[in-house]
Amino acid sequence: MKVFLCLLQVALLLTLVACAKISQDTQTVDTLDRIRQTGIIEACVIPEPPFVIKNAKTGVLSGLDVDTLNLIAEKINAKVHWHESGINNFIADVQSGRCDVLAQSSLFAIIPRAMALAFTEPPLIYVGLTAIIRKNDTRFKNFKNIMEFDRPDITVAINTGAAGDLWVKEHFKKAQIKRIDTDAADATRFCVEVSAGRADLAIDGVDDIGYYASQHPEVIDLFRDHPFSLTPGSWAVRQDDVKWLHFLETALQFLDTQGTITQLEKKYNTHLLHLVKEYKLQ
Amino acid sequence: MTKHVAWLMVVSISLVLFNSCSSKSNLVQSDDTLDHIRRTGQIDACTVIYPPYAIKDSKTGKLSGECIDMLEIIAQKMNAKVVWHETTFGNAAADLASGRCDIMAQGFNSNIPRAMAVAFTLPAIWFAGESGVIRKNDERFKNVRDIYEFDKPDITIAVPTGEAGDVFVTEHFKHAKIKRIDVESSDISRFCLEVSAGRADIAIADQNTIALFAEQHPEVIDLFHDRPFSLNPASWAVRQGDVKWLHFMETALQFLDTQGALAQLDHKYHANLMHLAKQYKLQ
Repeated sequence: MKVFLCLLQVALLLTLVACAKISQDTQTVDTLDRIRQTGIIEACVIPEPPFVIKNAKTGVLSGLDVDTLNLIAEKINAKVHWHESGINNFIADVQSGRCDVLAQSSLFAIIPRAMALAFTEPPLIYVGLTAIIRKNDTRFKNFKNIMEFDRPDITVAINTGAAGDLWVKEHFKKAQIKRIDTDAADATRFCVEVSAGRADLAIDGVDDIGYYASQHPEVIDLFRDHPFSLTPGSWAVRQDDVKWLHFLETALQFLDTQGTITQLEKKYNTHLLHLVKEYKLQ
Repeated sequence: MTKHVAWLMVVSISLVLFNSCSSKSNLVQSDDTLDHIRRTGQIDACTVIYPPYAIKDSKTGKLSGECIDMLEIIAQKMNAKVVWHETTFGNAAADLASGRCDIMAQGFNSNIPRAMAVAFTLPAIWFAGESGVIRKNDERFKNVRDIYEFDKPDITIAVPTGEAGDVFVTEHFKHAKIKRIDVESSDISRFCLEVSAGRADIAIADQNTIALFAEQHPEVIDLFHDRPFSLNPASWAVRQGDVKWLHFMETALQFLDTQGALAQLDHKYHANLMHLAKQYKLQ
């Protein structure tokens, strides 16, 4: 009888553990429900003008994506808690629950990232890539194609983990690649390598490169009028956070239809590519 | 008691307990309306009597209209039957949440606060601007160009409760007096009669409703007919978390749109509604 009772206790304990595991597995993430209860949206961003601008003195955030999410929050009586993230840790920040959304439309919705995060559909923007060289560097004055830079005597500076990095990994075989980590620092720091003569070329999205070239007369934005490799950019949430993803997609559609996104782009003097939308009577 | 018997009893008890907790976990799983429809062959749909989306024959009570036809076509292809329930724009979210309806088949404005309560089909099916009617003989407004000029304390605005016009004035108007008219299950343009009767100065709603009323009532003018303001996306809605049903509906609506069925229904019901223009090209 003692043996039976002992075995029964062990069996009950194991059953309880198994039940707890089942219950944990069947629970789905419901950020929307939590936001309803707490009124707080935890959002990650990476300072990168014009999407996210951090005031160096006050630390106050503004920018296209910051204003967009603040508008959405206002309409649902919620408040945004902003967290700074980086290009190398944003996936972990969203997956770990530090943030409910990476509200950064300059985040490229590429296939490997879509294995880890769910991107809002349709993309918010489309960004091509471009490159800067020094204005006085006469070696490249007849170069017309980015592939001409894939030579062993060329050093290419890129922002670690950003679109330029992903692109050179896939397409460049011979050039020397200099990866600069820009986490939570000036996102265009890798471009300084070109200005300082430590790299021949820097590659990234037209927004970052264009911004740097506008501030630094010593460089030329080489593919400004004919960028290469168009990439979609969007916000990202946890993959199983279905209701929250759907809510954000509907909210972004509403702001787009109402012309609010266009107004914000004018406010921040940005020139981003979008899918052309035309509304017609059938 | 032998050890074998003891083991057998312990395993049996464990299995019973494990089965019980795993059944309970099945019960807390999210909605699966699609599976329910497969089994019962019935779709419970809510709609608001609001032409041209849903029209009710006052003699027979029979429903017709763009949304009615659309869902009937989808149901036919699923070998299912639609049971229609009348609701209001204000009650639709509660009707979905309570399970009275599986879908709100109406041109339901997919704005941000509503998206907290229901899941809208994406992309939006319709895009409707807003307009307003004033009395033709009301000289005060003959030079008005901007809707915001009506936001004055001496102006009374009639809007249908919960509709796009109501959402617009709630958000943008601070001074005018707002007269909300509940249009559930009755003549949807009843709020416009407030203008005809002189009880309101302007009535604001989606451009289609305003256009329909102005066509029938020569005493009023559709003030923003050629330049509607505040474009709104409108769509159908389901319960949040009802993922398979939502995805099915999005696929069904995409099919009807691609096949030209939505355009045909727009023509059939003389709908003054905009859609996202799509162009198909060989690459």
